[in-house]
Amino acid sequence: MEHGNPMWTIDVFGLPITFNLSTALMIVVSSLIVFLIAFFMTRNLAVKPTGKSQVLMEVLMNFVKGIISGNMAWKQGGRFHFLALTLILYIFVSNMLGLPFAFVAPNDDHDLWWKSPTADPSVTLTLASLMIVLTHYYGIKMRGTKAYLKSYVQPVWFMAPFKFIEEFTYNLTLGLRLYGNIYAGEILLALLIMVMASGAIGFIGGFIPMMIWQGFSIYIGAIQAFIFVMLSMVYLSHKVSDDH
Amino acid sequence: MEFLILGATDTVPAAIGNSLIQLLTFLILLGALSYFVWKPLKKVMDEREQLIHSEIDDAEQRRMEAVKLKEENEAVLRETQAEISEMMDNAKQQAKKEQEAIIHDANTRANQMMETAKADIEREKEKAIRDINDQVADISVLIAEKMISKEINQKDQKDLVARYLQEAGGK
Repeated sequence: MEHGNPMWTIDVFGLPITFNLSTALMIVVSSLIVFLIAFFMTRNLAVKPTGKSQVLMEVLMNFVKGIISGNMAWKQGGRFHFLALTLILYIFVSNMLGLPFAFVAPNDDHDLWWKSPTADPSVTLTLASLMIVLTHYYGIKMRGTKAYLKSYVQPVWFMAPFKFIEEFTYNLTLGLRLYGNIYAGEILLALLIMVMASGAIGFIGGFIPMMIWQGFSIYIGAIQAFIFVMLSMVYLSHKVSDDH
Repeated sequence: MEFLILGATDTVPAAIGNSLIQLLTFLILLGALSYFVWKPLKKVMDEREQLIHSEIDDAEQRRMEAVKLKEENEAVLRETQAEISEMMDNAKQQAKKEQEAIIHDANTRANQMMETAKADIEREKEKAIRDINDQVADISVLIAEKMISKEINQKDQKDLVARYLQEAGGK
């Protein structure tokens, strides 16, 4: 099932910059959902919590804190707490958005408007790049340029090319793992929808696999959000901790 | 990017555009969430942690105070009990002494009274004997008067009888 993408191009000083409007829309939508959920769950904060929402958010906070402190000392990792929290919520909500329904515009290209923003490689690679860039930034900031450069020639000098290439493969694997999982999930969902739309037999035959796959996709979405944050913190700790 | 990644329909300019939007949105989201959600939440959690810490310290301190107070109380109690038993002993001894004194007093007085009574009895007895002697003399005179029917000087008679009686008592 081929979907088109609604594109919109502007010229910035002669350079054409094209925006995929559906991706942009979904990025904004999931950001808004994340913000609104988190915002309304943390009104009426109290030292002695009265509602479930605060407890839930605190559980999330402690969960992410556990991810970070599993990789590095909290003294160093504490500064990444908010980043990791935002990241895991954003990716999780993004992964979930494509599951319940899709919206395809009734034009010739079948423009797909509603999908997971993480089913777009440019989105996941951007997030991955941001994390990798941050590892280098904090590596230099917290350990100094000398220790940072020295880490490339350790344990032996001829490891340097591999270590250099590794930084790019980290970026690619981090971004593409998330993209691949979510995109494949949406493809299969679309195929199942086609099966169910084909007729009565198709509907009956496709209903159970559809439900199973949606449930599995929820699991995949949660696991991929966790893995993304986990690996980001692992890479950060490689650059930030002294013992590596 | 189509040549690089399966299923991606974006071109390179589109990838740049998406990246820009994603980066900008994520940074804004990060800032907004940090300011509106994570910071207040972290503050509350830190406050609770501090509260628990201070409560634990407080409890520890109170426990120590309680132990100290208990020891003090026990010491006071022991002291008081010692004092009480001492007072009881004193009182017992005092009572015993008084008891003995009273008994002794009573004995003395009883003895005295008996002595006096004996002396009285003795005196009364002597007096009675004397009276009886006198009366016996008188009666003897009367009897003798009647028996011999002869009047004699009463005084001589009396002397005579007294002499007889004395002689009789002397035997």
